[in-house]
Amino acid sequence: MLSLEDRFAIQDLYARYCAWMDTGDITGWANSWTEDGVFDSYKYHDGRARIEEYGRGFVERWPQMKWSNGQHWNNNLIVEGDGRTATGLCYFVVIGKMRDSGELKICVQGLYQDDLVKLASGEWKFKRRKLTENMPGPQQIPGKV
Amino acid sequence: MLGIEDRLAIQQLYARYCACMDTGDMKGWAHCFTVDGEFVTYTTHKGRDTIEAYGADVMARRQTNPWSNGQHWNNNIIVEGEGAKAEAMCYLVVIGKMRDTGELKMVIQGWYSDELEKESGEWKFKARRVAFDTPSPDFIPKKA
Repeated sequence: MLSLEDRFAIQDLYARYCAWMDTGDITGWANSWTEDGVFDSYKYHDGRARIEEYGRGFVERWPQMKWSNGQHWNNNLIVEGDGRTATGLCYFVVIGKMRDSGELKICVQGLYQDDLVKLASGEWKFKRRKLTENMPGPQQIPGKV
Repeated sequence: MLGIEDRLAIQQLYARYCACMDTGDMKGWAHCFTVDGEFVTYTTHKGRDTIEAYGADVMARRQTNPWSNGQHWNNNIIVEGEGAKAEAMCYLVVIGKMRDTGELKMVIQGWYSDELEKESGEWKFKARRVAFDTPSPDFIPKKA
């Protein structure tokens, strides 16, 4: 079972992931993964270096997006694991300010499914993060009975 | 490093701040700040009494907002601290019910950057600053 300290450290990772991405700190964002981490998003990115490269390209395309001020909001975080590895699931939406109207809107909706690992340093990282825009089956919920 | 009790107490402070503001408890809201606390939003307010007076003014103007039922929602709280001091950030949106259409909309979006301090054993905001546009990564508290 995860200790309270591990749970808080994992919550912190989820929050920092969003804040790093949304402020454009792509080095910090890519460091959310292990060196050999995988980001299975709209495309498959294998290894932290490739993930970072993908992140930089993503941030470069920001000015072409229909919204500015994007914020990744997570909710319903479910984590199960022991002191070494864990699986996680959370909902997310991206809230942004539309460039044409100035209205605040939900621009992206999705779900993250994660494999996490604790490094020798005590830090938790994503070993694999899968982003889907559509709801998966119930078998994906960590700790499902 | 902050202990679990401190982390939970700080989460409660964030929740209480929103609930006090949204229900119009300006005394409770102002008490989320230290006596010498500072609130930097559209304008700067220094000291709990000044903050409370500003809050009362916000309340008085609330009926002129194009929305009612405002709710401050926070997310992505990141806290780092030691002993009786901490720094933190979180996301904010205000959700409201538009008076003309009845639609629920997000009406304000922002980022809070906070300095926290324990005052008589309770966590309070020593300084709270709001950014309405995406800040730089320096906004994120550095990992202890």
